[in-house]
Amino acid sequence: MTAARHTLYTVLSIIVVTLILLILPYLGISAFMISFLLSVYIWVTLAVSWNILSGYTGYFSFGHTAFFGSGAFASAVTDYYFNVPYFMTIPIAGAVTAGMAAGLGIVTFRLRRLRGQFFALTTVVLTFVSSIVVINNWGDGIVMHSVKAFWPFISIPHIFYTLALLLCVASISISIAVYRSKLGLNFFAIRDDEEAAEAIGINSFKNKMIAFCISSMLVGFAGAVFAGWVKYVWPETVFNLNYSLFPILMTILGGMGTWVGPILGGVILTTIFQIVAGGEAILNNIILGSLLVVVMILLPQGIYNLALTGYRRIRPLSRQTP
Amino acid sequence: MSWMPSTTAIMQSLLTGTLVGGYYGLFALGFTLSWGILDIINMSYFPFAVLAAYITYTTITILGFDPFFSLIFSIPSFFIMGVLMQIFFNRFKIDIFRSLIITFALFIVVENTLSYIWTADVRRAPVGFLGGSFFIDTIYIPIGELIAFFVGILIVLGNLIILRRTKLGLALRAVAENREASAMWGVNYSRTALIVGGLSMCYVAIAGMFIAVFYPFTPTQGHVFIGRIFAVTIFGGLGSVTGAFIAGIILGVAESVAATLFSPSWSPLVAFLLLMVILVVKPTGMTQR
Repeated sequence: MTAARHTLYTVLSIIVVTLILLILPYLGISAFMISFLLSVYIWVTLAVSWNILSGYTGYFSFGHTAFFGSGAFASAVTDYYFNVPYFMTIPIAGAVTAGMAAGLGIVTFRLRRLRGQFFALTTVVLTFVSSIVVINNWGDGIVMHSVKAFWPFISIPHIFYTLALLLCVASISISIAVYRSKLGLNFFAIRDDEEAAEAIGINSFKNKMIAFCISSMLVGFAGAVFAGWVKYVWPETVFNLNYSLFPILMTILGGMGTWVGPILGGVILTTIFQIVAGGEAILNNIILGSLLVVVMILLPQGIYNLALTGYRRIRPLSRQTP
Repeated sequence: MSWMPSTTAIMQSLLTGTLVGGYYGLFALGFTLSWGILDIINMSYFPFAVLAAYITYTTITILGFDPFFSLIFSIPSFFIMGVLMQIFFNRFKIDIFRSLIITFALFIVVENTLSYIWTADVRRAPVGFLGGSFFIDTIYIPIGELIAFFVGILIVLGNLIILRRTKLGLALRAVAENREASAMWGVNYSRTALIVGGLSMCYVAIAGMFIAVFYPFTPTQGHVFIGRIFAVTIFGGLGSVTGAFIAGIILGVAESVAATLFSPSWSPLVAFLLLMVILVVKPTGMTQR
């Protein structure tokens, strides 16, 4: 299969799946199913965006909570205080989080020593600092203006279903495009050996900034979509540490550094949460934290890579050479 | 110029800042040891400190003992937990990045277990004379903070003596310098690591006890320290006990002055700014270990 045909098949399959999922709400699926799929899309978006930075370039980020919360609050604040139409607040939220990422990146990506560790830590600190800033200003939360249903959307859940789906498809497409492009090659070179990458002329600072900004912008969009969906934006919900933890768990479970991994992990885990979640959030978190430890120890390469290895082993040798 | 704080206010904020900063230094000790010597960034120390605070709270409210008495329970149990954790890290050869993820997961597990056992209610331990204070002239001096400060100094001195004068200290410095080379000279890394892991958790237990003394706390009380402790650890230089203590005092004073000049609710931002400035200016921290 040539590269061009491979690309064509990928694009076609994405379009077909997207179209099917787009018309799904009009086929009379239940309201529960719509909200469940919506949460799947948001989680997959978060996992895919985490993978674009951390899976591709190897820089671990714990800052998804900061970007998700800031995106949600950027959307809510512009909507409530400045009366910006809701759909305009989504790009604003993305711009705000990408700006935050750029600011943090300019400082931490310039380091020569211990850069990965310091980057990871500054993202942790950013999470707590951004939540403190938000709590100091809007600690009681913000109730956003209602979005009106318009043609062809029958009701408000349909609007947000479509938004989340489009966002999810966009991030997956970006993730695949980066994976296949020269940019992706640069990212992988940085992940494997940053000194060597710089030695062959890759501008590691620029590439890391691009990865970080793309990743956090997508999270900002997701935060804004979530804010519009829940309507009442409260610091404790949007600055929940789970928004940092779950994308990591999903990506590692699915397979880090591959574009399939986060999608796989996101769908599997969101389904498990929905079944297990019952009610007790505390017990759920205990189970999930333990699960992450177990996955890190027993399955660090992820389901997708495991399946790939298994497939290569059972495939007849004669077909192995392309 | 009415907006200028008075000399007394400035003196007061300097003193409070020094005392609180000493406490930050005390809190950062376990963190800097584990990071600098073992290459383990242990996020789970924060909820474990809160666990120590709950142990103190329970000791005071149920048994009616002095806060310091709780250390009899918490120090041995924390030492054992630290050793067990380190056995786990050694067994699976956890490197620094996986340590971040795994301890972050532990962070969630421990914190939620705390919420499960003690619920999210705010607890305030009746701490007796530790909650008291006295005045020197017009300067207000809280007793609890003063004691934490001196405990911090004692621990730093104790550590310095261990590091400089004993064979264990020599082994620790060798491991921190170069793990492979020290193994060639006959340092048993896993045994040294177990001791450091246990010791770090003991410091966490002591720091956690003071959480119960100083603050009304909830299971998520550890969050307020994360930014500060990271800033202090990096500023002080990884693995440097003295550096962490001095960096803690600097951060404490900076926060306290900022709180006097602006508003107390913004003081966590000081740590973040300090961290950013250090990372730009001198990412290796101010001291070598």
